[in-house]
Amino acid sequence: MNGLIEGLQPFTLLLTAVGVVLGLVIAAIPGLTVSLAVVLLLPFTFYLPASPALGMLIGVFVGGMAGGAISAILLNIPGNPASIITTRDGYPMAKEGRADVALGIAFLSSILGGAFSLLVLCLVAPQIAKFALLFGAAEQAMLVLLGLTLVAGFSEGSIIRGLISAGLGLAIATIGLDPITASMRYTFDIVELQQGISFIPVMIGMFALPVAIQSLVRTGENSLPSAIPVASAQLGVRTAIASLRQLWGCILRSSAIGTTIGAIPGTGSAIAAILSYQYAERLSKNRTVEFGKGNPEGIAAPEAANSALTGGALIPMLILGIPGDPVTAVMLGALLIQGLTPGFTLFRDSTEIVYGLFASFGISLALLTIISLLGIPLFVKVIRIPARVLMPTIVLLCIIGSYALQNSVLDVWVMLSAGVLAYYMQRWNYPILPLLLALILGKIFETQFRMSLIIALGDPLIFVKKPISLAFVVLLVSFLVWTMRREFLHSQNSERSAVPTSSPASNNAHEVKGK
Amino acid sequence: MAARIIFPAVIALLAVMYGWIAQGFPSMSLDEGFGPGLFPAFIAATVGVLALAEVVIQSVSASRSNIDPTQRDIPLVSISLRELAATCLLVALIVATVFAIRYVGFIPAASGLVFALSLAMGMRPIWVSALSSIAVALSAHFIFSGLFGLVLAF
Repeated sequence: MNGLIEGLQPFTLLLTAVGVVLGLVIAAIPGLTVSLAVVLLLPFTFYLPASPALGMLIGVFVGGMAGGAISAILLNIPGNPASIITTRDGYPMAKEGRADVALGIAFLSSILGGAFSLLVLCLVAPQIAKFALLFGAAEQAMLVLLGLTLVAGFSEGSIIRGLISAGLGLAIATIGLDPITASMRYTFDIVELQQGISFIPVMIGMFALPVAIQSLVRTGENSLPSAIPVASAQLGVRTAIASLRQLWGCILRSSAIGTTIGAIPGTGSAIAAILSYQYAERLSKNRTVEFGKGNPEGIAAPEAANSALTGGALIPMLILGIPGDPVTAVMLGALLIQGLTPGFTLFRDSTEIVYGLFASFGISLALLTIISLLGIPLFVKVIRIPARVLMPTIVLLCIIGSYALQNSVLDVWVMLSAGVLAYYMQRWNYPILPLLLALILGKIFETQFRMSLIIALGDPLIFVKKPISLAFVVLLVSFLVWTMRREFLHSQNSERSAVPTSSPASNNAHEVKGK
Repeated sequence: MAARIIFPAVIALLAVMYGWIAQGFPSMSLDEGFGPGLFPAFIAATVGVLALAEVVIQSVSASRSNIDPTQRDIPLVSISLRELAATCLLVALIVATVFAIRYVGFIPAASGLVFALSLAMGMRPIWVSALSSIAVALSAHFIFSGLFGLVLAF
């Protein structure tokens, strides 16, 4: 109850609304992402109390997940990776003159998907938190290792590159004072490095600067296509509500998929959206319009799934301290800035903050309902703003945001280096999320890992002697074997499929050259 | 040589240096064997092995001519000059802004950064860029310095 009161405080309510609008607007602009929106707001949370700060961030998360659909439906350009699949049916429906209905279905599905995941979060999270209190040092160390491996394995590119990225993050996390003996490591006599490399400037640089570099590279490219006009947003939402009877099964199923996928670290909203779309296509009873040509379920499924991911992703972040995606990684950062330690003790020690966050989540969904009804005409205008118009301001905010953390210029250099590194890592298909998560969790992992060894007098079998820790090790090994087998089979298949097509083509090319 | 081989090779080299530095960390009698150097040594070994494996995989992949270039998970195309120029420009502008704040103050330096980036990103006409740059710098100064009390003297 106190949590609900926290969430309903006027200042918290105001910032939650600001978050929802900003999330919607930024995610609707092609080229800008929810992660970027959350990162840009992070410096503001340094100066705010915990509840309004978290309310604002959850508002951005909820608004951003819904906002991606606007440009997907009206421009055929997804606002975020999760909305890629929404373009398949959203844009054809909009082209038929039913853009308002497509947006109505997208928003309604987002709201219901989010509400489903909030319900699951409220019911499941406290129970898992009670179980997680049984974790000792060995269990925590193996849990972090499992989380990092999952993120590395599910990220884009190969698992080897994901693990290299995680290794880089762990290496950066060792800079500064040793957490157990307090001796200096990798500080090279630089006083500012004694406190270690903060993950906040790294996060700001890694999410924002690659977008700025891309905007500079694409200067002079063709502008966006013209957006399809929306007749009446209110009518669209009303029509969507009227068609809820046909869509509820699809929305419920997709919400369950989104919540489950969200709870697995590293999987991401795109996977949830694609998987739910595939299920909708397979199980749909509504075949009056084909999938890919404007079927309402083709919009409802991905949008419900990507919004449901919000609640799912909060489960491992809040209970285990392992963020599953970039947005929850930033939220974890916000919790740490507030002096709170995410993990199973959070539910015991800061109940009001946790339930305040849940309340803000529910309020964000209610606000999304109102804003989606009133604000669609505004968002239709906003999506025409090219990302590069906002980039100079974003770069300035990055400099201020990284400096503001500790009033340290070193943090600005860290942000800059991280941004450049992230751009080229992404160019060469090295995921950046494992690096970030490893940097955040590195100190905890090292402390628990070494504490386990100290308790066991150096016996490494401590990690398999305890049943919960053993279960994590078994999961870890199984996941590694499964991922490597999958990647090996994939490479074999691509080689096999390339041989018959490439050989004759290359032979022909030689023949032509010979002639 | 393609960047897809150079990058993991550089990481492997860095892992060796990182592990080598870790050997010099003091060992405590209480936790001898698992002192401050233990964790970095694990990381160095793991990252080093993985980076070398990636070098081998990419070298083998590059030597196989029958793989369809569109199927490769890392494009063969190297970084373009345009990308390098964009990166250098952004780095130079941020570095210049940080130093300029010390000498000319936040508002002129921040206006300069926003104006230069606006021009580089193709925002026209110039007077609109100039005016919006000053407005952005003033707003940022008002919010962070005026409202939040942050001292914007780097």
